[in-house]
Amino acid sequence: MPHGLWKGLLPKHSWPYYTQAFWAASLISVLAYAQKNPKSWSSWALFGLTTWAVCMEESNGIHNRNALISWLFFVQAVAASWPNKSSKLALQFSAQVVAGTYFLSALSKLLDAGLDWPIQGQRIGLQIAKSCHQAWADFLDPLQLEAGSMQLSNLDQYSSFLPVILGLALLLEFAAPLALLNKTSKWTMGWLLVAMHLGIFISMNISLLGIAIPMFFVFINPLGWLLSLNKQT
Amino acid sequence: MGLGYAAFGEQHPFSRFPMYSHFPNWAYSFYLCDSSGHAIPSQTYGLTGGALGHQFYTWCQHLDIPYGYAKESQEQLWQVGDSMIQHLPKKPEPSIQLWRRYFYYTGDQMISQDECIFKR
Repeated sequence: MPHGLWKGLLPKHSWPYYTQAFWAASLISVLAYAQKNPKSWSSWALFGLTTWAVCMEESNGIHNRNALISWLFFVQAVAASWPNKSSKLALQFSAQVVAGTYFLSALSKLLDAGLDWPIQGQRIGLQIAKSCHQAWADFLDPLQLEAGSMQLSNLDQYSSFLPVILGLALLLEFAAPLALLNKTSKWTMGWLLVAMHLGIFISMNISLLGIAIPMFFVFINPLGWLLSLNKQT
Repeated sequence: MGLGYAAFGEQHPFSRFPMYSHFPNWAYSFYLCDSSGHAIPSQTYGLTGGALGHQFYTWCQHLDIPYGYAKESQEQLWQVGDSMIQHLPKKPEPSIQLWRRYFYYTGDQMISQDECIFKR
């Protein structure tokens, strides 16, 4: 079921050494990207390779929604190719992509469910039951079903708070562009979104790692913090 | 990103990131069983339970079968189930069953119904 790039270009399983070439290109690009001053071609290559890989995954019906990673490499490639490039430009562009993602997600909720979205969330129990049953189906671990029952029981107990919590989550997503104001707002928004994702994982057994992990590295920027610590010592 | 979605639709890397953008009154979970109806871990065949579910929706879209609210006919479920089993990453036993658990609310009560949607 061709998806994305694989629609216009036929899946070339018949190309000789297709897999080996893909992995070799990926390794070379990652090594080039990991240099102290990476060349823009490595970001462009990783953008192309991740787009290709995710399209293949989507074509196989996997749907892990790893859309963000390709965009991050794209904006970093643009930043590296910028006429007046600075080291902060890549992070700035990446933050814009992350903020835009959450804002689009909030907009999707409004478009699909309207202002009723926080109230519709009473049916969140169905997603919890589904997630836990899916987790059980992996290895038939009964603990997954027990965890699901416990989560549903908690949901029943605190159901009156649910529209408020969901409403706050929706507001947080809409407010994501505020992260672009300054470093403090970016860091604060980052931790608020981490809390939101943790809450979703604990209560619903749903992890959106394809979005949450890039957000963590871009908004909270632990690598930049470690580098600045290193410079001080 | 939004403009790209407007132009190309939900095609990677363009997306409007509809992360649980609505909560319909239905949810499906899928699992595999042997010929006696005893559950088999989906990881035996290289797929998580979640991926099994994604495969169902992908095949429904590919075969132009509307899904949700258990409105799919037996023939449609059989067709989708057949495709899913044929495309498991690891070859399954000759006799295998695909089951679906359908979750929905009636009032405040959650109901779950199990149904064999394909067997060979």
